[in-house]
Amino acid sequence: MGNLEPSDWIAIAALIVSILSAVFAWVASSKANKLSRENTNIQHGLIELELRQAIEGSKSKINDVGIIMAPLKAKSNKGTISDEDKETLSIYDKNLDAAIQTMLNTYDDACSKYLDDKVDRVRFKKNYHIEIRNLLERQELKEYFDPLTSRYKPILKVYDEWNNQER
Amino acid sequence: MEEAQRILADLDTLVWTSTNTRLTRQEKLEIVEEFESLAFPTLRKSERITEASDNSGILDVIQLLKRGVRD
Repeated sequence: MGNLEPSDWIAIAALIVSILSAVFAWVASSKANKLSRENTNIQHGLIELELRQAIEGSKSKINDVGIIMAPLKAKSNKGTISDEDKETLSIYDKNLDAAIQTMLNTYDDACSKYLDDKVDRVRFKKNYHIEIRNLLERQELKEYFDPLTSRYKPILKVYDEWNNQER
Repeated sequence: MEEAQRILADLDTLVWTSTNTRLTRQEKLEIVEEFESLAFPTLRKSERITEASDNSGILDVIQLLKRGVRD
């Protein structure tokens, strides 16, 4: 050790400094990655919460229309509905269609977010696999999911992806 | 699948010894969650199947409202 020249000490010091800076850079990068992952999780959580609120809001709207329609619907089914009420019911029927479309739009937005990796994919599938399957397999919504003409392509794509995986 | 159905059938037969009443749906779900955590200890709570939401109620409403409206 005593034979080392001043230039050797400088080289050793430079080596130590470079090793230390590499370690600091690695620690900083790890912290940044962890922070980034946490931010992504928070973003996913917020988006999922927003989607859930939108879906529940759209279901609630259908319920509201249903409560107003129910008395007229009962009269219509019994054949005791007046012409005036028949016209009113026909308007409510349009409201119902609009509310159903709003609900399907919100599911469609949710499926788009899933396809774009904007949500936690595992959690999304666990949360929505029953709801998406119900939408596609219930007879009363068949008209909205024609494979060729449907506007709800993301829903169809997600349904297809999940059901092909499970086959 | 058959095994799962057998377990569900067994759960339906369980009763509380003190009151002789059947288990509620919530109690059965808690038992299923316990099974899940034993069978898949590394599975996060957010990944468990019992977290799935359901929309069959609102679809039943739609079915009732649409039936006959356009007849």
